[in-house]
Amino acid sequence: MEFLNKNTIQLDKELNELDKLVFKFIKILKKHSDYVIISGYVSILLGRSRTTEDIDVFIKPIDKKKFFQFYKEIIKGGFWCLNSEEIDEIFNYLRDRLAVRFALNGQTAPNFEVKFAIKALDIESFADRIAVETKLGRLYISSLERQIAFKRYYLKSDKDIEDAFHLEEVFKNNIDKDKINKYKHLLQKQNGKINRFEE
Amino acid sequence: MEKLIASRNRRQDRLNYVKYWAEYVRTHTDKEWSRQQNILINSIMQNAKNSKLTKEQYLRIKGEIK
Repeated sequence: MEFLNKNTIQLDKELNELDKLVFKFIKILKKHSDYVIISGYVSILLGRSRTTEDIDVFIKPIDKKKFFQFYKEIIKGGFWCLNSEEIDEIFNYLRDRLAVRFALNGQTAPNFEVKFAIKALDIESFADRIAVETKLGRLYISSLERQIAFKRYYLKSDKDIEDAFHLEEVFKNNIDKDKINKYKHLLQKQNGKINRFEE
Repeated sequence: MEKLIASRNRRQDRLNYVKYWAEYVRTHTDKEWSRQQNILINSIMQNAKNSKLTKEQYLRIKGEIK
């Protein structure tokens, strides 16, 4: 894999069943909202030797009408929502800044944990997201520096530290350490603090 | 490639492996490392299909419902 420019990675991997599932979901989601994939799946897409039961996705907040259109299409596409079958209830969860989970019909994992990007740092992650070009098309992921800072300095479990370490090692020639430090401080500042997007 | 360093400390042992695997990813083609990765991921995906957990059981395990 290689950076074609600062916001694009060319990835020639053979896609696995998890990658194919992500494309199936994103193909529908992207018609209805901008998105950025964050957390564990980013490291896995970029080579980490583990799997995950949830794929975390930020979407830009959409109105109820648009969400209903997405919901109808995702159900038709063979997915179900684990939290509820009531569209209003699911939308209210999102509006209340909670994540909702979608999985293939009849399954519980892997699932897509979808959340409205509301906090300032979450919204900013759209501005410098990275396009990963694969055989099946493009996926948008959060910037590597954001991922590393989030996992190493905010989540901090063993698994998260390992995910951050994987990205640091694989992309040691591409990563901007000053940016990681910047995000580390922003995360500390934002943590627990209500920002203007939440007021 | 450098050798995989063994450690008595479980956490350090895992980090050594992450470093070892990351070097493999960095120094091999995407096709080569992904073939290895896919053996693991595809087998776990197959197991997931056989899971009998209901939505409610899953969300309870995740601590999202009581």
